[in-house]
Amino acid sequence: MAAWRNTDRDYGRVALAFHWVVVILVLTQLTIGKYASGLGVSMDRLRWMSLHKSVGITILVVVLLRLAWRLADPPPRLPATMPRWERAAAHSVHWGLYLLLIATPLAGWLAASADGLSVNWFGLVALPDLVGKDEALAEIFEAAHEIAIYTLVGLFSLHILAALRHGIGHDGILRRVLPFLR
Amino acid sequence: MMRSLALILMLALALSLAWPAAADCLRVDPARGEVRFEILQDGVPFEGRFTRFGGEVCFDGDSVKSVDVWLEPASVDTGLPELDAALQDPVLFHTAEHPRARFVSQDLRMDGDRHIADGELRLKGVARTLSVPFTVSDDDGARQVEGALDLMRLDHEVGTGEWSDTDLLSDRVRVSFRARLIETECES
Repeated sequence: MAAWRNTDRDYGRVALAFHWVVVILVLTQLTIGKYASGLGVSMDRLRWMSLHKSVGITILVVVLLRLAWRLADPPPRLPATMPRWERAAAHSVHWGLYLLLIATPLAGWLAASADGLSVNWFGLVALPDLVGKDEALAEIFEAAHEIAIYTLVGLFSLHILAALRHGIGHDGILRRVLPFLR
Repeated sequence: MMRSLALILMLALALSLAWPAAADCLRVDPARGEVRFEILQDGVPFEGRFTRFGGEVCFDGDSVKSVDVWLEPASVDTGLPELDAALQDPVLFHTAEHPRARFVSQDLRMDGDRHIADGELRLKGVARTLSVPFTVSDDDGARQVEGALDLMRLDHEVGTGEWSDTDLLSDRVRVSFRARLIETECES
């Protein structure tokens, strides 16, 4: 495995890096989010939420960059031997993941803006508020953020189950994304 | 002659009753004003306001003689009910024991067309001297005061323990106010 870009059969290093970096960021973020939201009003919560917002924006940016890269480096086609419904399911889940990986941090950013608790990316960049302070909007965006998270975790689980299915079936799909299997 | 004298005296009495007293003390009208605050959370501004406040500003003509104003920290409104509730806590405003924050002027001076009240702010039981610049303007016939002051919350122990971390919550708090002044009930 030496290619930087995708081939017709395998993902290249850049696409793989994007994939696994997002996986790590999302797992970290889910943990931080779950923990922080369980805290009462405290300096601790302020600290963790501050980190949560920064990681969230990072995920948003990385995913957008990944999508931009995808234009230049299209993914390897799914094999023709794979049934049509399965290929359609794969595309749906992947695009669903992209959509939610963007919608979730965006909803969070909107909620923070409506709360009047602006986002400061790792203390370096104060991001603009997407909306003005508004209690009603804050509630809506907080709910949207939560729904997006649950849907994301759902799709994430489906994605992993499908990957395991491919792995168990030894159909060559899993090794496209897990280079050490090659 | 006695009748004219009596008339003159009665006129003088009537005029002195109608004319405002030399020390004209006006009340802050909370219905026509606001007190807002701004603090930095994680380096970015966070705003809120206090909905219960009041006090008195005394004039001698156009010159301000004294300022004695207060606000109730328990009336804080950040737009986040959970935060408003948490601010009542002993480590923050301790509203149960310190229901009012009060500023009383000791000296009034002018700086250009701005008034400056040098006085004492008592917040959470701790007093600190403070200078408050403000302007007095005419708002539809009544006087209106408007100004802002910077206070250091840690000087008044607002936010002890974990809350004293000023990286995430600044020490400096800007309080800005605007209020219409109205006549006090008993006008002598």
